Amino acid sequence: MGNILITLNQGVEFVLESAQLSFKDGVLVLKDLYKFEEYRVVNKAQVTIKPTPPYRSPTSLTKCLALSLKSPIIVPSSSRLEVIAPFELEVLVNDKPISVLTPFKVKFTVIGTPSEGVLCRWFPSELVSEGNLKKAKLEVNAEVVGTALIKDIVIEDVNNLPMKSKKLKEGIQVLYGPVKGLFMKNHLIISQKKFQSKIIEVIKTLE
Amino acid sequence: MASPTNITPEGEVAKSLEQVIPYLWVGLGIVLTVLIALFIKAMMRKAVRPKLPADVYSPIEKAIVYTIVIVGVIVSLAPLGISLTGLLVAGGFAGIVLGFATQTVIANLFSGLFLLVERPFKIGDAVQVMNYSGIVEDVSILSTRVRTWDGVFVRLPNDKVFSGDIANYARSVARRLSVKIGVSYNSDIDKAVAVLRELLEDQPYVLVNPPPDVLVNEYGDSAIVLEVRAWVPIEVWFQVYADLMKGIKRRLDEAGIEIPYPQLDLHFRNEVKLKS
Repeated sequence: MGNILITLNQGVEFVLESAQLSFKDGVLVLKDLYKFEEYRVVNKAQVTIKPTPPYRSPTSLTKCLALSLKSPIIVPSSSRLEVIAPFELEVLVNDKPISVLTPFKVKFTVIGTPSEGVLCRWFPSELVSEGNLKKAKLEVNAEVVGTALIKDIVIEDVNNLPMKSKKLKEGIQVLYGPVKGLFMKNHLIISQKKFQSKIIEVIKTLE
Repeated sequence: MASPTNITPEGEVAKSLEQVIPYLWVGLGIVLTVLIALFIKAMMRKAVRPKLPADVYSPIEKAIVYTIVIVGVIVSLAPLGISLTGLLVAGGFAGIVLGFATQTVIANLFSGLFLLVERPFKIGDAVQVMNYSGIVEDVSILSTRVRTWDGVFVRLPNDKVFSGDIANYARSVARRLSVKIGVSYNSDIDKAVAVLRELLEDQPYVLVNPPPDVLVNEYGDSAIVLEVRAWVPIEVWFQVYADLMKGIKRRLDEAGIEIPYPQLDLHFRNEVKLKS
């Protein structure tokens, strides 16, 4: 399983959540919740879609991604979690990127205060289960000292996340990770490893 | 008849050397001064420049290099009998005269230095200074240049900038926007609030945290005034403001909630007979 490129033939329509792409009679139409774009494409052009980390749609304001768990989870020492994460679809014509669609609703948040915090893309997440595999799966290896209750996971540079995808009969599956985060009591410690992340907003630490 | 002066060729050479040597010392002093100034400049560029923003480093470098050159040249002139004290006295008088003549320039200069130290804004920041709103294009030692939102370049003297109010919109990650809208007294307030909350939820740039809010702000003469408050990333603040202004009217119309015109109920103390 590696990074996939889904090739669209003439007359094909691709729909994933709110992202819609149709390529008919030389007209390429791209649509999601925030944009509608129409291109005229010459006959021999090849249209492909590539899943990418989510930071460019509707505009690229930040590479930070905050995943907010629907309900806080209790994390034992050296935990390994699998949570749901969003992704975007880059549209390429003859290998040249022309646009990015988002299949999911986009929201932003500030981690910290408006004056000194960090702007992050926000996504309501949950632990991975069979029913929600249509969205991307993110593996988080949290180094926890003691047991903690965790509400949010913040990934500082989502562009650096490792990503794999594969084509399924019913659509595509995108997997991230693993991401390494380190949490100690009420302090956030950013991992020195290649893929940095931090786990924040701890309601309380369970001794 | 005067006797011819008895000067030997060796004596003439010695006298010439005696006259030339002070000038050689002056030249050597100036060359050394320039070399020292260049050396310090190179060291500063290597050690200090990477740690400071360009608009702060540049005037500091100039001030240090010019000070070294001026002091070095003055000291180098000593072999010619030009004393530092004399220059300082002359400079003092000249300074007083120049001080009166260039009072504003000096005030701007010092204000510029204070602005560089305090840094209430930097190049590229969105600011409001002296009733001018726009982007800071340049901060020099004497003036600050702002490109207003309608594209006009304004040069503001640093003393006025330093002593005036400065609002910097780029310092925070997010800025709150507030829109007030009046709805009819006949409207369902809960429904109106729910419709506006839904609008905020659908707008991607309205931040989840700090959370947005819709509240009853005032019971006005003609309407119940609702206030929509939302925190928005600085980069898209105006775009979101424009979108919300348009979206509020559209959503309220779709929900059948009336935005009333100003109204005045008239009550006559005595019966009024109307002519047909």
